[in-house]
Amino acid sequence: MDSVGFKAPRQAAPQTMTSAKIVVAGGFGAGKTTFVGSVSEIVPLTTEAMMTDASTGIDDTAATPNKSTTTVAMDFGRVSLDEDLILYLFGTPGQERFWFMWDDLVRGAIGAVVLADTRRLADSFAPIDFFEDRGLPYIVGVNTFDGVLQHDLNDVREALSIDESIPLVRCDARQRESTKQTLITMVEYAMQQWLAVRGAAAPKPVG
Amino acid sequence: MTVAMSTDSGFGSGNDEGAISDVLNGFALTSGLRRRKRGKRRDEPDDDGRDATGEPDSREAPSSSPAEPTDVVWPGEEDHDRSWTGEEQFVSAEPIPVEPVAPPSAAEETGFVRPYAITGGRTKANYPLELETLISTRDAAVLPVPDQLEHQVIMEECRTPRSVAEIAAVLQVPLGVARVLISDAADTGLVTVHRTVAGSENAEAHFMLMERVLSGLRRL
Repeated sequence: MDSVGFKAPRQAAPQTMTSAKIVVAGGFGAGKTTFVGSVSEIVPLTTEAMMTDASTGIDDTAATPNKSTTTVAMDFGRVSLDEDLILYLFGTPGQERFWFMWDDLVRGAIGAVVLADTRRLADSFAPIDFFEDRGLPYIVGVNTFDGVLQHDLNDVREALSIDESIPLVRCDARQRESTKQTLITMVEYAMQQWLAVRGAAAPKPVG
Repeated sequence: MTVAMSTDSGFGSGNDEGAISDVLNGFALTSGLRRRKRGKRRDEPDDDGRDATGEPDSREAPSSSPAEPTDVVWPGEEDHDRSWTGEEQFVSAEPIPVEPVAPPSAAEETGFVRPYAITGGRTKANYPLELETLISTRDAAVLPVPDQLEHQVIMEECRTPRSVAEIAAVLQVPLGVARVLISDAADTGLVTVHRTVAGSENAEAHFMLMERVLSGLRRL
């Protein structure tokens, strides 16, 4: 009698959730926040500050005169891929003075997308060096601002001096479909890399 | 001392109107007294007992000032300070009962709480909390009432699983602080920390995860 109608408000079984992480890197103004935002189901949680006089002389705005804000801490978005699987996209801190956060970013990540702005390719060198040093699989996405690809992709590859095996794709960070394809390319490449490094020792997945 | 005297008179004629400057005056009065007393003690070891109460405050005030270069109170207070050292002789000759000046409000005095003050200075978490590690609130029926505001926020936020990074963003605290708070919440049994598939530790699980992410992305 006393227990009639009483139901403990507990779930039948504690659901196990899994999360994964992909890093989105690139120089100042390369479109990282736009890239994350185009596919994220939440408004990217960003710590953006209005760029003020304080950043004059520190952040080079010559090539992106219309950019009024810059990411001063990492920003990230969330993509629910399944009931129990959430993918997080982490944009790297835009300025090199935030390098200390990068270890947290790359640890356990599937891989990275380096967004390259052909107006300032040199900005991509630092993230590329970092990922190569850490052995994190990465691909390069050449962000085609306004839909125009300014340079031949082969020229970009040569300018970045990255290996032929590393995928170099053009993408429009504003387009969800383009971002999605870039991410797919990245995960595929990461899996290839994983198999190339460990494939011999690993058992084949069943099925 | 003569310089101080002159600033005093200049200040007194020009600035003693308005509620804000009244408050500043009151604030400056006490701090000026305290500083004077501390200075006096160096010269004369035998001092009255009130000094003991004034001492910690006077030590605290200068240490917090460099952290807030933009705070409007401190530059003003410096001026007042000089003026009140000017009054020193008068005060010491006939001790005025220091009127109980209301201590400056927390916001006025510090402007912000230093991040790790929330964690009691601790920086270590007891769980491997990656940026993407998911946290979810446990069954509320068996929970004690959380006594820390941050824990309440975490519990509220994690009714659907949230990552460490999201919690840090919601709490508006640095990542390291969020890690300690989450760790505490987990220790208290408020939340569950889901296992994170770390790349290097379990390579096979990592590969499976990549497969799942890939098919998930294709379905989008």
